[in-house]
Amino acid sequence: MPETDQNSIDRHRNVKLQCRNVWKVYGPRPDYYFDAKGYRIEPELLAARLTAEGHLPALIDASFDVHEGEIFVIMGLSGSGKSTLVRCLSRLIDANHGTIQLDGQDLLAATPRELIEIRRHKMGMVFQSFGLLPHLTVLENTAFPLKLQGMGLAEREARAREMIRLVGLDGREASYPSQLSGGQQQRVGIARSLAVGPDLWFLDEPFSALDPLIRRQMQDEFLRLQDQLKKTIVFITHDIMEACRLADRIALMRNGRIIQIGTPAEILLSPADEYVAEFTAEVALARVIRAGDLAVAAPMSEATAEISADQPLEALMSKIGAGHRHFRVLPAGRYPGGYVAADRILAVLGHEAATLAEVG
Amino acid sequence: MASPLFRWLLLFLFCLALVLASPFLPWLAAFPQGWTLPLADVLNTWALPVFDILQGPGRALAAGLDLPLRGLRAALEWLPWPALAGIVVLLALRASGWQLAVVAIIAQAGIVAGGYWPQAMNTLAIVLMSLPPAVLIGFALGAAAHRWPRIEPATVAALDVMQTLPAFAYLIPLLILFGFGPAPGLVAGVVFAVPPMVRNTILGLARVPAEVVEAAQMCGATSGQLFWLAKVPAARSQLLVGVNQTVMASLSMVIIVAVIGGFNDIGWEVLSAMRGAELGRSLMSGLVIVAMAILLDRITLGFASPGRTTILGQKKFRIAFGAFVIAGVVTRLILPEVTFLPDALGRNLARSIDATLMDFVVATGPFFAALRDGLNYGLMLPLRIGLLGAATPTVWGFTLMPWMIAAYAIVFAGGAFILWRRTPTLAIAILFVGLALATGITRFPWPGVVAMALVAAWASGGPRLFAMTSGALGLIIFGGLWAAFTQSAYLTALAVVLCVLIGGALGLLAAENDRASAILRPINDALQTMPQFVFLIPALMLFRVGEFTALIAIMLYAIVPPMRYVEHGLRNVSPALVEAAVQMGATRSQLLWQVKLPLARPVIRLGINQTIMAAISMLVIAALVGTRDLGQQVFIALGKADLGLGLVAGFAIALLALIADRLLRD
Amino acid sequence: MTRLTSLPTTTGRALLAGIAVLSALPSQAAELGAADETIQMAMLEWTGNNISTQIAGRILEKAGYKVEYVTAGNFPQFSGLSDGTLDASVEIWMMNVGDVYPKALESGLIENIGTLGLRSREGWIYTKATAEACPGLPDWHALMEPACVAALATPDTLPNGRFLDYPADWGARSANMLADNAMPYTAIPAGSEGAMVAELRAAAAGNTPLLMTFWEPHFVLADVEVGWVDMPPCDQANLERCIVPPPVDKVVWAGMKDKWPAAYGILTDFRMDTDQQQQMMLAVSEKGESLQAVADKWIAENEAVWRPWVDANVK
Repeated sequence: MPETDQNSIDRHRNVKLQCRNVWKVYGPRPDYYFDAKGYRIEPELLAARLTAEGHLPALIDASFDVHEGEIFVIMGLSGSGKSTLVRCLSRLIDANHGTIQLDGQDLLAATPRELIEIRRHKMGMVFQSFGLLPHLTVLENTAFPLKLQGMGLAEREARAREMIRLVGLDGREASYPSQLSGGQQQRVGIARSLAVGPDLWFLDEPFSALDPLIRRQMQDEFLRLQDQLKKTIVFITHDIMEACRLADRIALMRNGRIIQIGTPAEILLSPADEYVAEFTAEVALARVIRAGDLAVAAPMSEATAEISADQPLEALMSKIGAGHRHFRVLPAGRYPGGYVAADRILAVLGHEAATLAEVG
Repeated sequence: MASPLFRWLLLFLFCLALVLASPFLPWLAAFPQGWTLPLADVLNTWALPVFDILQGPGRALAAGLDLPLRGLRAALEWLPWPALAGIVVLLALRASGWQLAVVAIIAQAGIVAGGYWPQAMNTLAIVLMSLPPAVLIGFALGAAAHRWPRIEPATVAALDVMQTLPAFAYLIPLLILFGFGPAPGLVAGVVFAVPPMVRNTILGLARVPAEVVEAAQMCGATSGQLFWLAKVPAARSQLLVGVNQTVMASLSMVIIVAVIGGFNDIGWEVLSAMRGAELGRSLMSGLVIVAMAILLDRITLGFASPGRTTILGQKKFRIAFGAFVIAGVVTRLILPEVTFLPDALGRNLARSIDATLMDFVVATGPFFAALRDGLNYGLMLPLRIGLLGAATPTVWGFTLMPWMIAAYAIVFAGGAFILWRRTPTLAIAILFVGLALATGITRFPWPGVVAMALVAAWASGGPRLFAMTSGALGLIIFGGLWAAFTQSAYLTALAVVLCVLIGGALGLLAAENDRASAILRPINDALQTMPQFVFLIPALMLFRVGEFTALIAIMLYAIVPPMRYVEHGLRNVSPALVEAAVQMGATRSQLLWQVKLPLARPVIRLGINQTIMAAISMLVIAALVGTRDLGQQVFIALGKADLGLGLVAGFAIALLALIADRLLRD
Repeated sequence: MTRLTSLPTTTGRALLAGIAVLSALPSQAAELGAADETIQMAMLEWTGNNISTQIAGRILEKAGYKVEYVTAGNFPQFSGLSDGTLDASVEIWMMNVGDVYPKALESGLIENIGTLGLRSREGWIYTKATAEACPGLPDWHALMEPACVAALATPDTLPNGRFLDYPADWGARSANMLADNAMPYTAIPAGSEGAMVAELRAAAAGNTPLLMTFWEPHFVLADVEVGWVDMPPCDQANLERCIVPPPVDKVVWAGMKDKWPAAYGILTDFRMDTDQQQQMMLAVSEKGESLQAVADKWIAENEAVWRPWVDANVK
């Protein structure tokens, strides 16, 4: 499997989902532009031509890998093509061109029957407006995918109850969706998508329809779940803060193109262009960048304090204020740990650092 | 923008030239009889053999329908009425609550007291019997249109025809196919009741949220599972609304069942009361239909409402239901002959209503006669035969002088000229109105009408509507129905204008005043569900046989949509916008005229559309009070057993409604 | 009910063939025919017809038949009589049967078994106020006076007087007679019988002039006092342009003769007395007695009338 030039801390893990040169075009005859094989498509030229000839290229030449156990966040504003992309990945809509491989199997070539089998066992998806069936109870909704597989009533209900407990909805099994709050409904959506035990988990803006407070709570729950389940995740959001909180890596999209792929720290610290820089300008770096993002492996003997790798830089401020200049970073989560110097932290935070230091 | 206006101006000049030429070319004013084609005869020669072939299966179907229908009727007749009434109250309780249960008790008590229980049960049997086929066919068609969107436009057009084709027009083929008895009426009822189910099925399936569909797909649903386990259940409440409307539609067809006969139902009562001009009897039987409509409507809607909470649980309901059935059966077995029905309590009431009506007619006769004559002379006659026709010594008492014609022309031309720079559309409209008022609607040269209709069709509907309009006009012109058509157009146009003015004003009042709204709502309900025949009797007594009575009859039905839609449109203007306007210091009338009415325009427009449809659908009923329109042609065809003429006239009416709808849709 | 569903559903002719086979079977009850099958009697929309039908039905029951009364529309009944869904209709007024009846008769699927014996009358009637405006009535010449024409004129008929005619689908005999005699009247088709009755009632109650075409016996004439015009002359042979007393006949399904021979005979003999029917109509529509009670009473009181019809046809 060819490795791309994207830098990644998960380079060592296996590629679960591979996406190469995927196009989705709307218009009168989109396939006309892709049926000739054998010559290389020049993306920008083709996109310009498509637009000129009355087509709308919703997804332009998307390529990336998602590794096993990774949270891969696709981030962009509305109309950027992120929804189109995730629907191409799950084949809810058919891409016009490109290859998408799940565990090495070509998804675009799968027959309807095969696709149904893949969805029944390997994929789960959570939707922005939940997509719950209004006529089914929480229990029945959760068991719905199992019912479709033909699983017996007792077995599927037992499994569904387990999922409901997992998302913390025990006691509401007999409720109907209309009787639940938005957050609770999305928990049902999550339970349902997990019921078949998928390897690959799509979440399409799952928390966007929720109140900010609930959203935050759900993000924490989500991280807790992922800690437990270790799924491969493609997570769609338009919220940069959410992306930074959850992502192992972020793919930033604009006008149908992926303009940068990287860890949150990479995106924040070295934006690919003006647009990305502007996009991330409002992010409070001190809260998003974690100690682990800046840690280096080379030991620092002068380290006077310790900090967990998943702590945000913010948490280090008081220690810097107290005079510590070198820290030992303890491994946590996906971060291997290491050492970090206060100078480096202050440099990253730029002018923000000066104020914070004074306060400290 | 200039080009369409220019087109209309050119058209006006064309019409003007026709009007000026028509005294010299008589074939311009009235379509010559010699030019017509024997469409009806052609239809008869090829359709009759087809119907003969279809007769076998048709009769088999009729026999198949007959047995369960009679069984159902026998069962409903056999059970003592208190048991059935109790079951209805139970259903009301379960569907909605105490309030509806009380309504059910009162309504059924009224039916029993009026002496119409057996007829009401026969009617119920027909409605219940037509329900399963209508719902199944409608669901299947709707699902097909959903599955293959390509066939949807054709399906919708077919539904429109099914709903607007007057049932009287295809009574003869129905009788040929299905024979005498309740079966043909039942089939007519199904034909009429299928469209709402189809529409609601299409709507419901289309409205299933995309994410529900995607979620089911992502769960690995096959296309069958997707449809039956996700889409259909998710569309459930819309589908139930479809069932509700199907029930209402089949109830509104009971009159057709009665026209054929063979089933002693409540429609038969309405018809025979109409024949004897007995208002009391016809009003009471009409009210029975209204009561049944209200109960069926509220109960089915109750079951359809998505967030329904019930005070009567499934288990209790079943027990109570069983108890009523058993009590009914036991009672009947012990007392096989007792009906438990009062012996014609209602008959005296009916007679006193008749007497009151006669007193009213006598007391107000001069007033209504004056009203009728005034409107006839001042409004209807000039509209029909034009100023040129009305300004004669016998009608208006003077002869038209050349200077009067000149002054008339100057007023309209001048008005148009002044308006031309600011609102050219209005200017052209004024020119056309001036011309039409001069010649009268029925005497306007037919090539002008044809040209106007075709241009309008092309402009607003493109080639499709153009083709449809050409077809309809061809049917009318060459079918020899031009005179009947102009008569229909004149009656419809007048009724619609008056309904929009009066109904619109009442709707406005209802939107602004809660008490007016509360008074108008039940009146609207009654006007819409009461068989129209009931209103014909007092209208006839007050206004005599003729166009004016026909106009009143049409208006009584067509006035409901403007009232409803204007009120609905005004009341549903976004409160945020109203607040904003109030905050800006708008007075109540500014609020109404400059904020609410413009915002409610789409809804009001839909209301006008519905008014036209309602008016056209009344043409056939209005023929019963003596008109010369297309509706009368339908009845003449019925009397002659002339299948071809009936279908030609019926399709002319249906196509008129369809075109009017399409023209006004955008 | 059983008979309805057991009916052959092919064309009427095939049905007739089937009946012929049936009637050929030797049987003790040959005179009664298929007495265990119900005879379907058409009940039309007006009281007089209902009374005649109920009485005829009761006589058939006395003879040993089963009878069911089925409501039927005036035009659709011929469809039912043609295929045997309806078996008999005993009071049909021949002036408003449209073209449906002649067509059905021509096809041979129905049979006219003669008059009901009602003393019928058809012509032009007028209200009391008309007589005041047109002195000289009932002579039709009085209608020619300008003052009379003016009293009857309305906006839609100006300068002519208004003449309320039968619905357009019942033919145009009056209109033709008006034209033939150069009478200054415009015939306005009423649209329906109900429209005529409503207008007549209103004109009588409001004491306004009204000239219309009508027939007798009719239940509304029990309530409303009218005068009959002495009709202008017309060619009695030309039924399109002349009004003659309308026949009131009995019509049966063509297969009846073979299936229920005795019933066919009884109905052929059956007659109704005009005055008696008028009395019974009044009892029903004015005194509120039920149709069934009135018919039962007639049967009880007139055995001398109906017993001979039964005896002559049933052995």
